[in-house]
Amino acid sequence: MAALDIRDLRVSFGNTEILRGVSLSVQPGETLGIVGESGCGKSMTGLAAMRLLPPGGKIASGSISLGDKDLTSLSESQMRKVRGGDIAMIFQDPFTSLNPMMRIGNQIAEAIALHQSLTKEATRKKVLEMLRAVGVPSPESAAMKFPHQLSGGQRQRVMIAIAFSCHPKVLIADEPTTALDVTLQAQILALLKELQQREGTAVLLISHDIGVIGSVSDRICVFYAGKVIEEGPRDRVLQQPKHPYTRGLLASLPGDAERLASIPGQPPDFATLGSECSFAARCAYRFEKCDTEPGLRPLGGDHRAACWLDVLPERKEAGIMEAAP
Amino acid sequence: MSFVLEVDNARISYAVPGGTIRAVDGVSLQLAERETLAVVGESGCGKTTLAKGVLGLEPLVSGDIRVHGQSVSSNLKGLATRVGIVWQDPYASLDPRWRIGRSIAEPLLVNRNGKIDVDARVDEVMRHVGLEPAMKRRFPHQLSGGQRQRVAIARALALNPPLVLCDEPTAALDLSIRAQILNLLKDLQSSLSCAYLYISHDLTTVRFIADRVAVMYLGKIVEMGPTERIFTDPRHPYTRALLASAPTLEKLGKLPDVLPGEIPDPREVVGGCRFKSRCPNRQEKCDVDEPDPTFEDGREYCCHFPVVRES
Repeated sequence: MAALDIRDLRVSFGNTEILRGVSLSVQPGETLGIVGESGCGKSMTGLAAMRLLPPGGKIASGSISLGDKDLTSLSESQMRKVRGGDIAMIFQDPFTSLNPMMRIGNQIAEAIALHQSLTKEATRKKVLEMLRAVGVPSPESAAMKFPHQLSGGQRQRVMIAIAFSCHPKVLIADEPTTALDVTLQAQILALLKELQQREGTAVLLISHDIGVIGSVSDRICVFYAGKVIEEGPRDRVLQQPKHPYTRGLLASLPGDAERLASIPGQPPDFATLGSECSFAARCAYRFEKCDTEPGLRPLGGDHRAACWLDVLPERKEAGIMEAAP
Repeated sequence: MSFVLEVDNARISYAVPGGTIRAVDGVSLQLAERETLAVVGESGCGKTTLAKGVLGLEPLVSGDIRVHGQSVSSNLKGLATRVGIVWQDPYASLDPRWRIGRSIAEPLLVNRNGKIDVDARVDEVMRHVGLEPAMKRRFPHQLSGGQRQRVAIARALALNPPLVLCDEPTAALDLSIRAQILNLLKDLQSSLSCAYLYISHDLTTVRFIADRVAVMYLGKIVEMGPTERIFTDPRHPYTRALLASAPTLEKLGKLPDVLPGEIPDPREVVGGCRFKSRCPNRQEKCDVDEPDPTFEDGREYCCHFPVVRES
C-alpha cells in the first residue's frame, strides 16, 4: 500500500485553479522526484498534502490518503496530530523555518513533545540522539545554540532532525538543498538518503534541479501548469522523455553543444487556460488533436505522459525549439 | 596582448568582531579582450568581494586592480564607462517605479556625452538583447523574469563597456529561460566584443560559457586554467571535490561524492594550506607551508600534493 496517495487533487485560489487534477503516489522507502519550473504547482502539491496552503487556497476536490486516513477530511485539530508526526516537511531555507529566538535543542524537543509522551530526561536524550544522527558536531553544545550561530548546512541538518524526530512515514522535502553550496548539498542528500533507508520513509522530493532529482529519485513526476504531464521510473523519464516539455527541459541543460536549446514562450496564465493542451502554445509538435487536453496515457513499464503523440519525432527541438536570440 | 582586467595580488579585508576576515587574500588574474573568465567557489570564498573590488566598491588593503590599464581606485567615475554589471536578481536590481527605458538610459545620462542620442541608443541596445523598443514604456512588474534580466543586460551594455561583470546572472531563472539568457550572453560577446568576468557557483553553466575558470577557496584562487582542462583533469583536490559534488545526469541514481566538513571560520585559518581541514591528500607539509602556485601547461594551482590524473 502506498504511504501517500494523492488522487485527482484540485486546488484553487478564488476562481483560479492552480492544481488541475494531480494524482501521484509514493511507496514506503521510495523517493518520488517532482520537477518543474516556477509556478507549475510542485510546491503547492507539497503544501496541500501538509494542509498548509497559503491563505485563500482551497482544496476543491480530490483525496490525499496517508495510509488509511484521508487528510482532506480531517479537522484542523486532527490534522495537527498528523502534521509533524506521520507526515513531515522540510523547506528550502532553514533560516526562515527555524525560530530565531529559540535554542536548537528546544525546537527539536518541541516537535517530540507534540507527538510522543516522553519524560523530560528521555526527551533530552532523544534530542541529542537526533542531533548526532544528522551529523551535527558536539550535540550537547549545539543544542544550546540559536539558529544564527549555526552555518546554513548545520541549520538544514537541524531541520532534518526535527522532521525525522517523530519517525514520519512520509517526508516532503521542498527544495531542501537549493540554498546550499554544492559540497553541502551532496552532504545533505547523502544524509537524507541514509535516514530514509534506516526508517523506510517515503520521500517526496521537490526540486527545480534535474541533476538533484536524477541522483536521488526512484521515480519522477514532471509538473507543468498545475498537472503531472509525465511520470515514470527515473531512467525512463530522463533518458527516454516522451512529453515535448520534458524533452525541452532536458535539452536546455548545458551540454556539449555550442548553443542551448530552449522552449519558446512562457508557461500559460492559469486564468486563461482553455480546453486545449496547456503546452500546445509552446509545442513544436502541435497538431489538431491538441485542441483537447490529453490525460496521462500509458507508454508501458509504468511510464505515462500527457501527450497525444504516440511517437515523438527525434530531436526536432534542435531546430524549432532554439531560443530566440 | 592587452588585458581588459588585471588584478595584481589584491587583498580586501573586513573588520569583524574578533579579528579581520581576509575575504580576498592575494588574488592575481588577467582577463583578455573578448574572453570569459568564470570565478567559481562556494559561499564565503570571496568571489563576490572580488567583484566589489573590481567595481571599486571595496577598497583594497594592498595590491592593484586595473581596468583597461587604469587603476580602479584612481578613477571611480570613469570606471562606470568601462565596466557594466549584471546582478543575480533583475527584480531587485531594477527600480520598480521606473519605466524600463529610463533604467536603460540612466548610465547614458549619468555619463552624459553630448554626441550620443540617448533615445536612439536605448532602442539600439534593446534590440541587441532581443527586446522590442516599444516595450520601453513598461514597468519591471509587467515583464517576465527572463525579460527583466534582458533589461538588466541592456543597461549593462548601454555604454558599450569593454568589461561586463556578471554576478550569478542566471541563478534566479528557470531552466528554459536560463538557456535563453546564456545564449544571449554568448551572442552579445561575439557581436559587441566585450569580456565577461562571470561569477557563479553553477558549474554546468560555467562549463558552457567560460573560456577559463578560476576556482576560489577562502579568499584565494586555488586553481585556474582553460575550462575543459579544469573540468576534465582537475589538479587541486578542492576543484575535484567541487566537480564531484555536483549531481549530473550522467550519474543517474548515484549520489554525488561527499566532501566532508565545511568552510572553516576564516578568522581561524592560520598557517599552511587553507584547504587542509577538508583535504583528502593532507600531509604534514600542508600544516606548515602554504603552497605557492605551480604553473603547468597553461594552468596554475596551489597544492603540494595535487590530484594525479586517473588514466
